[in-house]
Amino acid sequence: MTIISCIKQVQDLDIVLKDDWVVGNDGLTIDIDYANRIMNTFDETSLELMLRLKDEMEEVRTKVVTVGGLRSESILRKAMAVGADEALRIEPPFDLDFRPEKTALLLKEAVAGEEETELVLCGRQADNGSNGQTGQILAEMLGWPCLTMVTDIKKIGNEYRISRLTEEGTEHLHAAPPLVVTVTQSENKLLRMATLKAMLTAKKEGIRVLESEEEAPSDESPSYTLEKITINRADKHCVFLEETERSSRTDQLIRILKDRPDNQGD
Amino acid sequence: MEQSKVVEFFESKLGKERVLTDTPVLQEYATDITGLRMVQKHFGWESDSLAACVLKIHSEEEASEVIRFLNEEGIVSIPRTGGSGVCLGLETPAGSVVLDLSDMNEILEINEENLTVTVQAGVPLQVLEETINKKGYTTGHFPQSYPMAQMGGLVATRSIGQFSTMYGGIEELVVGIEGVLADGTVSKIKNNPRKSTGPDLRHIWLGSEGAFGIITQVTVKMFKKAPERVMQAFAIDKFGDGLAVIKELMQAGWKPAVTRLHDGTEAAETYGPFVKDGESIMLFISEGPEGFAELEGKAVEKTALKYGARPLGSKPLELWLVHRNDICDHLDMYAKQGAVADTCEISAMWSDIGKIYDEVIQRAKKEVSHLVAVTGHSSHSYVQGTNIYFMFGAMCAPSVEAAQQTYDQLFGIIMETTLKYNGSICHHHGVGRYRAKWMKQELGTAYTMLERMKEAFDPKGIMNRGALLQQE
Repeated sequence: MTIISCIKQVQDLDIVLKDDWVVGNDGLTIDIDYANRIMNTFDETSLELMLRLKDEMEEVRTKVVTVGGLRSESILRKAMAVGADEALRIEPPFDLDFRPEKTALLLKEAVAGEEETELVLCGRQADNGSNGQTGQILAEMLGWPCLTMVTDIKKIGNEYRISRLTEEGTEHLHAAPPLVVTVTQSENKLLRMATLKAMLTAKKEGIRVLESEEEAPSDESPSYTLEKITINRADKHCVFLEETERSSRTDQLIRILKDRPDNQGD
Repeated sequence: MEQSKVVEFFESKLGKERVLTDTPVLQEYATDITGLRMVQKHFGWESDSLAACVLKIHSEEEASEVIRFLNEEGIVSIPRTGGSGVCLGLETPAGSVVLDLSDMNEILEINEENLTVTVQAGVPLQVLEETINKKGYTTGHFPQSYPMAQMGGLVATRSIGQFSTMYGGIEELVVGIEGVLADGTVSKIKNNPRKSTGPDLRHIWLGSEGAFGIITQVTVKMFKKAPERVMQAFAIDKFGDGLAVIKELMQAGWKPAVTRLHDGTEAAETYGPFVKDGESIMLFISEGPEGFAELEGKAVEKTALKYGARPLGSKPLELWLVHRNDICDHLDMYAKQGAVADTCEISAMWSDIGKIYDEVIQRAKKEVSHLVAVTGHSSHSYVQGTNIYFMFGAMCAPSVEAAQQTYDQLFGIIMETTLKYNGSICHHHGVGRYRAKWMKQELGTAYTMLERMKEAFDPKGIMNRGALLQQE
């Protein structure tokens, strides 16, 4: 039985300086090449959930898959260093930005190649594109159920017990495999750290590369066309509560909140 | 005296609201933010040695009265301000009394003629800096604990800041100081630019770690904000070559305010797109009066290029300036990943510092079975030598005991190697309780002086017992 975690390499946006969010002359790009390339945050959590399943289960094979160029092998090696058994890199046959359905199609090829796969975990969205669709489209293509916003997953008997965030709170449910889950962050689910020895071993491990024969979509039928990027600067206005008495301070706070321009009065 | 009577006494003196006895609060005050405790807490550690109470002290007179009582009763007292210590210096012996001075947070005088600022012990450094910034001044003091630390604690631990190569450590910034000795005596060292009136008594407070008395007020220098700044980064093949660049700059008389050299691992982790595999990175900021930064910047560039360094421009410095204290926002990040992680800073002469760095890295890689990483950087340099700030992490079994064992092993390697090459086991974090066990080796025959100071200032041994000097 195989569990697959789909992971993606992204640029570390947290490091980007406020003043560097500047759209280039083409209106479509932002130069943040100095940002380190890391594993997508939600994918780290999805990988950790897979490793926790592996910790608890017997006879399970864990596999990480990424769609990306040679440079993205570093996240696969990191995944193997923390415990994934195998890694697969799918060489993207064309630019996949804003084409989650094409990414999902490539991932489907990888999943379909594994006969005994019963669970695929994806991060809920990537830090850069933030489409938030790949996992769900993958499930659709596979004909499997998809559970979104998952924060925890355990194997109980032949089923998975899944916790997922909803607007009302956390929902706990059972689901029979095969299925796809998209994972969001939650408390104490940080990806475990790789030891130096494991990193050195992982560096020597072979990574299978899949060259897809998928053809580039024609310009006539793009799923999305990036028209332009605009930067929304968040205005921060800090107001100090000057009243010294607690009750007066509360009144002052209420006044401020009521007077906010975006307050709709309800 | 019974613990309940002690609490009752203070409640009658200070009022109930300023005597904290709730167990969760006492747990919070039971330690500091040492990496060891971070991961141990993650594995379920709780202190079994809680203070009797925490006192919120509001004035020097109160501090005097309280400490006099504690001294008479022989009750151990732990002075505390920001709580950002990293050497277990704030751990509470059972039944002790914590004197929390963080409410003493007034900036008393900004003197623009003498360029000094006088503050109470609980003034947060960040508040002080931002306050005097508005008038065009700076403290020149930027430790990584900048968002958390308060002035009393910074003096008590001999703090240093990231711009120290120009502005100096806290020992060069303190002008005058006021405190309360163990028997309640108030001691005031007045403000003078320099004097020759016997030993410099300020140095008894600097690094005293609460073991001699309680610092209540300090006057520190302030500087006119530099009108010009030159920032430049360089990649360099070998860490040792980077040390050679810094040594040459220091010994030529240059003092770039920020002078940093990060080894290959740190460079890749933080500045990956800028460096090639294995390269170290050097970061320099020169600042000062008009014309100075440019002049020094040219000297830095010339020296770096002489050693084959590759210029990287100013972007790495821009990133460093913004992100240098990010760790304060998520101190327990590594603990949450189940890793024993911490930092340890040592110093040594130029003749030995490279040997210490190499040997620590080699030993840790060889001896620590689940090592995640051990890295180092030089960040405070002098004519005679520099520091190395080691950062380490290792996985261990998820238990308090296993974490202790792993931490002791890694820390022990750094301490042993440093002492082997006659380096100093603490550059700026202080001794606390954790490093006290190495203090006899550190000080050698001079240890007697420290013991006698302790006996003289704190004959009953009530002041932060176990910190600085190991409890026999």
